[in-house]
Amino acid sequence: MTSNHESQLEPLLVEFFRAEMPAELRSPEFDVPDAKAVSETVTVDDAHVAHLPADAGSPVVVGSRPTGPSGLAVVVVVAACLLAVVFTIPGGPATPVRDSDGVAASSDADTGDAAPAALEPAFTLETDDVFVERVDGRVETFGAERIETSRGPVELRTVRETSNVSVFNPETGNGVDVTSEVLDIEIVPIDDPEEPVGDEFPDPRDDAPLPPEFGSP
Amino acid sequence: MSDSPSDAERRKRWSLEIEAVYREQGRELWALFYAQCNNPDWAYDALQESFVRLQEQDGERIREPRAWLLRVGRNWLRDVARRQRVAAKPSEGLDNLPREDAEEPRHDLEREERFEQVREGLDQLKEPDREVLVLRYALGWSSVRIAEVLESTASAIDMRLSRARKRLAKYLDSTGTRE
Repeated sequence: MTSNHESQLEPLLVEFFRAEMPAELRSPEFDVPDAKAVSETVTVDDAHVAHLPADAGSPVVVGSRPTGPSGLAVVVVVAACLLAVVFTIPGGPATPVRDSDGVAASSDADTGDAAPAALEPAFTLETDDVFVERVDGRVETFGAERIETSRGPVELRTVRETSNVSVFNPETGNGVDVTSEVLDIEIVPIDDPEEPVGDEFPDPRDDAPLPPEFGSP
Repeated sequence: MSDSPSDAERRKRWSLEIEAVYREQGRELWALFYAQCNNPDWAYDALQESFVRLQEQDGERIREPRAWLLRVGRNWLRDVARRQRVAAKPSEGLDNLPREDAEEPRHDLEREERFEQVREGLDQLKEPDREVLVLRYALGWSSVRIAEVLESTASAIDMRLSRARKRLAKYLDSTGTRE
């Protein structure tokens, strides 16, 4: 019956329409990607669990598509708001300062001969020897958007979260608490439901209950 | 009376916009026109005609160029079809000539014959069936994208595609077209 033709039909139609289309429209400048917008994005690692690099104040997530009703920006800077309260570890002895031999030096309260630099209250993120600890965090918004691309559907997931991070320099005994905003963008390929597996018309018997001899699970 | 610089600038901008629309939407519009008339040349003429008319318009008044072009092109095709009926198909002979822009001369008689049968088969289909076939096989669109353009769902498009293919295959079987 029609099966012979149906199997031959698709290539025949492709060939047929290729011949039918005017030459001008076949030119590559008329090629339009099968997506309205394809984002090239980068997922940002959590900046707060790693050693902060020198420019840790501005790791950047790059995206090209605004997302969500809140109009999350295309470029988000981690630690955009350094709302931090810079503090000097209050009163009492700071973490012991170590000398070049690794032996704990006495505090100036005891001897008064500790290196002045070790007591310097100023603290900068440029110091390499800092410990970074994430104190807590919470997810502010979450969005998921399906985008059709030429390689199939993908889901654009955006998570905006706030983290409280504590950065501590044991050498100076100084620390800083940082509240940072992180926008995490992920593009995840998802299965394309438009390509049905098997028949395009499911057999209604598929949903029928199993005969009694098969029992129920 | 000469145009003011701002008018000239505006017209230039409008021309550039039209060019961009032509590149982005040209194929799609041609495909939709083709689905309506089942004639590649008329579809192309409708495309050109609609863009020529768009060029004459005041760009600021047209918010949706695609919708505007589609409506103009479709109306133009209806007029052509009406004139064809009245004038007893005066250009039929010309329409059957090999097209100048064909990728290669169609020496293969069998191939041309097969194409003619496909054309006739498509003519037997209703416009919505032709529409999905041309969007899928001329433009290579996914069902999801076709559904967006035709304001339907992907599963409905799949069903329509399947039905259209079956009908076309049945017609080709009945005419004895063999590979």
